[in-house]
Amino acid sequence: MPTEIELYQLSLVLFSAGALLALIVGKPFKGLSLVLSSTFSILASFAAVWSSILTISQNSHFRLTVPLQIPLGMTHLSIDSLSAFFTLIIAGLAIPVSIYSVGYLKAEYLDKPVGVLGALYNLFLLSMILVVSAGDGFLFLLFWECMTILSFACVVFDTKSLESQKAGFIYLLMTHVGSAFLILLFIILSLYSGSFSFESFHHLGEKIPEGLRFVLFLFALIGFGTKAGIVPLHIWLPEAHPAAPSHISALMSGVMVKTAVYGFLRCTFDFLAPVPFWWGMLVVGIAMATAFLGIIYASVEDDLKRLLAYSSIENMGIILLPIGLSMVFYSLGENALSSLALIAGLFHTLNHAVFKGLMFLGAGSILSVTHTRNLDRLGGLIKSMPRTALFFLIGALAISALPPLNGFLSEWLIFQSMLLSFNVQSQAVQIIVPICAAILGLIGAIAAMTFVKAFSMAFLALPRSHHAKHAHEVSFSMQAGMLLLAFLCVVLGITPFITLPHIAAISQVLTGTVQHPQIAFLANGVIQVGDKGFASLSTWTLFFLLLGFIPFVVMLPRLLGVKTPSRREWTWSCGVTPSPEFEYTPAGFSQPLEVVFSKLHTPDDIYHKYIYLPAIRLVMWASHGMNPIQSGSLQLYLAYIFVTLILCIMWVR
Amino acid sequence: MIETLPTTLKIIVFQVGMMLLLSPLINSLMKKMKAQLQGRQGPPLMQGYYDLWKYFRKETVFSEQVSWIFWATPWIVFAATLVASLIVPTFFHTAALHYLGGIVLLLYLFGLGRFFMVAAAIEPGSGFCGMASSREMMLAALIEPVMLLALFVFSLMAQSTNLSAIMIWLSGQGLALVSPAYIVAFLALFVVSIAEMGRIPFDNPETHYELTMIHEGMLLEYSGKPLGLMFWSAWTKQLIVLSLLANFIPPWEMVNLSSSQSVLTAICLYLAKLLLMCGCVVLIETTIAKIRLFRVKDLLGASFVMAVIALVLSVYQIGGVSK
Repeated sequence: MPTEIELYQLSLVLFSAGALLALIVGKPFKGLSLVLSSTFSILASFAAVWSSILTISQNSHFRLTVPLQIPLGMTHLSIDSLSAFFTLIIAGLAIPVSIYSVGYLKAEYLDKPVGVLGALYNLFLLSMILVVSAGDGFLFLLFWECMTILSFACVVFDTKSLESQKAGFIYLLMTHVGSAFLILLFIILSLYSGSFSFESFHHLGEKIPEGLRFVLFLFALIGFGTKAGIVPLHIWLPEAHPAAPSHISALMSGVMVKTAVYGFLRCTFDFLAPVPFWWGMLVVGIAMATAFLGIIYASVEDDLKRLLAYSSIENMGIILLPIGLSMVFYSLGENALSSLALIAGLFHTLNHAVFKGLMFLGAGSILSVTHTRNLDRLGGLIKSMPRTALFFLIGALAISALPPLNGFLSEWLIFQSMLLSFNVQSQAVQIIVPICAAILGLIGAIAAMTFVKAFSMAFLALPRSHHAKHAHEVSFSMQAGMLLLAFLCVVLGITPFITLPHIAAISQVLTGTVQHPQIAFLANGVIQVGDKGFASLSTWTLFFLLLGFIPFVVMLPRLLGVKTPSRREWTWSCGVTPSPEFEYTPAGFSQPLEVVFSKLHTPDDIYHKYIYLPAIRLVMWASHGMNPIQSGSLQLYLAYIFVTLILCIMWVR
Repeated sequence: MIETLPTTLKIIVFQVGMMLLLSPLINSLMKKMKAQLQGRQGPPLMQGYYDLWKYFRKETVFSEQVSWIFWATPWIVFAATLVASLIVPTFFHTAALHYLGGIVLLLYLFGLGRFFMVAAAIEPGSGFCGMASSREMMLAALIEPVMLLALFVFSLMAQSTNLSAIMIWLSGQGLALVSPAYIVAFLALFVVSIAEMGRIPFDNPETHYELTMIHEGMLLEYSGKPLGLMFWSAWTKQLIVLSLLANFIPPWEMVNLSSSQSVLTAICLYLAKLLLMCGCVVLIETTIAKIRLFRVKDLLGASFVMAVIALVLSVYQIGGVSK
């Protein structure tokens, strides 16, 4: 029985081997390199998943030294149950995506350097796993940068498309702005602790003065927020995620944004703890704004992948919401509630990776068959791609948080943790949080609208273009990848008693609480939340009732009526042959909601106008102001050196 | 406490049967009341049953363009509505399957049915159905926050989101519970329930003009048995929402299941409250005109503000029972 440490090291080795082999074999044997990179990534991910499950179930914590000497000590990897959870999400999504990529790359990218893409893919996964396993600030930043550059390379892989190049540029720029803040954060933390290691950062917030602590918190928020895509730092996400190859988009939306959540959790609960009340409320406010604006922008999109990217922004808001709540509850001393909220946030992180990955793979399938992402050019695909349609439908139902799938379960948990705020002594919390819960309901309903539109316009009714009319089902490996994720959506939704206890253990470690979080698992698969039975949900019974009623419903009319014939006719369209022109368009479908929220859909981009363009102008003005320094005169440069030397000598003395 | 399997099955059969049998009658009753108010005779009270009988004997015509989603939707919608009927308390304060879920599950089960109805309406590719489905989603988006907040105010008072637990808590209270917070929250719930049931002033359940129909528009392409099922599930959903409203009207009494007289009183009380709610809804339907589509957000927004006021009143415990 291999230990988790051996499995972890095995997965690191396998990822690297896969990258290397894909690169070597890439030029001569394209098909082989494709299969090699996918196989190695599947094996490596499998080892990583097994290692994470062992680590989480045993609640262990192991270190691996990395032989790199840096100024303040040796670097090492440190994997505890939180790191293992995120490794589980990353590697867990990588398995279906790798299976999918075999067919997808064969269909789409065989004329491009597939070996390079396979190597990039393996290294990207490796860097993400190393980011969440880093044991000190230096390694964290190093792997963060690797992750960024590798995903940038994937985004601009399609070198012929101008949009991809521009998207990659914005992505690189925004992420580096964020990374600058992260570098500052870790340097200042290391000044106070004497070393870069995360163990020395533990509960460092107690030693740092109040004002500086808030500044560090802001640095963490901006640094991780740029990667996570919170408003107003989200402008790169809708450009970059659609531009990458679809299986990489699935990984970027599904797990790369989650590494930012990991970093944020580490900083707030581990390093800067204890957090004051109003930081938590700030995070809740930002999360609500992100979620709301994200889904509003998604609802009016016609480009399927941009719609999914905006929906990722919305879900990042939904993930940050219980995390912020957890901070609020922790600051008010309600440790059990704090763990409950954190359980909800972590569970939604897992679920979002699963269903967002599924949706992006579905979008990739549509793209590879119809060569378009525009919903206005799709339609009728359910007849030609029935299985893809079924998997996409399950993904859409899961994102819209409809029972009995996993999205419903995590949103239910988020609702209950928000409503349990009545227990809290602060009246501000008792008023603001239920209103936020109601707005979460609004966001969920708009998400349902967005995804019923995405599904219906892409798959139902008559095809709106030539390519859609001549579509065909995708290859077996692409279907297998999507099937695996759809199956996970269902299973995660009906078996909370398997996943939630382990997530509860992780959240208890983070909040440092010994109290049992207020969640109990009774017989019949009932989960009970709150100490006096505040809420209960029985996922098993729900699932079997929904399935069980269907035969009853089918039989009921037959019992009450007689057997009547049924026939097919063309839809009545006022005597004209039905054609796609009579159908409702995607833009038309979302128009009523667009009118309701018309104040939010301004003609000019408010983020560019009020935030980014002024910032750019400021930087340009400062740069121009500094121009005279470079005068070109040798005497002036010598004078600079002389003055600097005098100042240095004065300082050292 | 979770009952054994045979008891659970009996309870499920009873609750579902009762809801299914009662819902066409309630719908016909509302039509009859409306007709009487308008000075007409109106259709007979049994008309709902006659209609179902008719639909289950008619031929079903499907469009050439639809896929399995179209004919699976009536089954899914009906199943979701039946599961929803199991969590709402009727005459007894504990619903049939009280542990199944609470407020959030109820609303999201309706959402499940709605998702499939909308998808199935887009399938035939006719403009009317598409228009109805887009309007339905807009209405649904605006209904959710109001309904959630209004019910959350009650759940904050009762300290539970489980509808049966709320009812048990209500049964123990007297009339002193009816505080300003309670009344305002109930009003907000009432307004949004009319929207959820798809009645005037939000949607007209008796018209088939494209400018005025939302729910009816989505049913346009159905015929025969599927249409019967869709109507029956709409009526059952209406009964569920009416029961939910009826639960919040005083007086409340503890029901003793072993004493048949207590059960009889409870049933009569429940029917009387249902009648009262039907009467209010019909009165509004007869006196107020259907509002313009884009005015719906104003009405629901006002209702949301009412729910917020109720929340603030309840948090600051202005009048009424303390927690």
